[in-house]
Amino acid sequence: MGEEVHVVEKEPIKPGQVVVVGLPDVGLVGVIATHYLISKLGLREVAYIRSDLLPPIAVLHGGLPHSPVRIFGDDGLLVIFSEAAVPADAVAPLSRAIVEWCRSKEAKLIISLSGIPVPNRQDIEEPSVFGAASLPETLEVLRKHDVGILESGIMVGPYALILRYCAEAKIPALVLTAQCFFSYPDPEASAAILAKLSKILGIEIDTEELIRKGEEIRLRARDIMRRTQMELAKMRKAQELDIPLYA
Amino acid sequence: MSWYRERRRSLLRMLLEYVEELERAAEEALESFFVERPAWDVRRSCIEPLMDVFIGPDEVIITMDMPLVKPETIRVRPVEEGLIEVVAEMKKAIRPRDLGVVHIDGEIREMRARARVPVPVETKSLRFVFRKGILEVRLPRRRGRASEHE
Repeated sequence: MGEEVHVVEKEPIKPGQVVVVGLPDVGLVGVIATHYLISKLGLREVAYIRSDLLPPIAVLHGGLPHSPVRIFGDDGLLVIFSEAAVPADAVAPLSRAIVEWCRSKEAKLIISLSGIPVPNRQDIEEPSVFGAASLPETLEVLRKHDVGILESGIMVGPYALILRYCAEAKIPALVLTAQCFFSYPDPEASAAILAKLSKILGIEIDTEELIRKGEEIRLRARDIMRRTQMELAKMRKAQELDIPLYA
Repeated sequence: MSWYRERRRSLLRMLLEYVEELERAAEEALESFFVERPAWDVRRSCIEPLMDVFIGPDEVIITMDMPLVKPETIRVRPVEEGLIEVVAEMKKAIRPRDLGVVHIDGEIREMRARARVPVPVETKSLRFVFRKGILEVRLPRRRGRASEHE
């Protein structure tokens, strides 16, 4: 399975870094947050994902082709970011490849950024952030930074698998999820999650521009949101709203 | 007995109409999900918002993500049985170039969508609110013909 997805490194990548993951999911919370992070921190492309399981597309930047899933970095921080919806069939191999690559790079911590849909999102001024961890000791990171722990329930999608595979491989990993819209891009939720991430990483991330340009981001993100929704439906994403059998 | 036959024929006709409505709604849902078409149309200067239709026991709720529109220009109206049209002007005209599309000229001046409601509703009681850039349209479900089927 791992051979179906390759991580191609464009330059030597130092081991022992923190990896932040932003793949398309509800509200595009992770994608919007990681794109903003890459832009604000001025990270450069250091690697990309090559796989026949991804859609047959090239993302053009400056007239040159790029993989839709790329890895950006600088000293100490790597960010995995996707500009296209990940097909449901590719989620498991991609998640496996990401975790195996992170293990080969002796990742210090993997932090996936995502959203958790809430039906009354319009009534919420400041979305709350919740989380889960791969290991009991990693849960302490969430407690230390006042992130509510998702004690029970079902997670669906790449973050669910990344967390499970990390647990199997004993890699410290977190999933941070902000309350968000189910079907619409949610830059406010991305800002809420970046606020928590900045505390966990101990770096400053000013989210003022993200909030200010929120409407423009929502308009730009509508097509990737639409395609992501189609893939999420195949993954039975709505299970996340199910009442857990045992609490 | 003629009353009974007439009543049976009437119920059968209503049932067939209901099935036709369901088929039409299913076809449209399939079309909207599977037909590849751009969300924007520079010939008509409009872009289509993302939308969701929730069918509750008492009402149908349509939501649409409408960033960058002028709230005071939002118009919501039924155009035919079970079809709701929403139109709103953009705060400023957007060129495809502004969104990174350099090979198409033109402008997007409004957001426009038609939402199909797959169950009978009271369009006269239509209400809508616009908050956080999301339009929420509420339509009470029509009692009577639908409840006879149910």
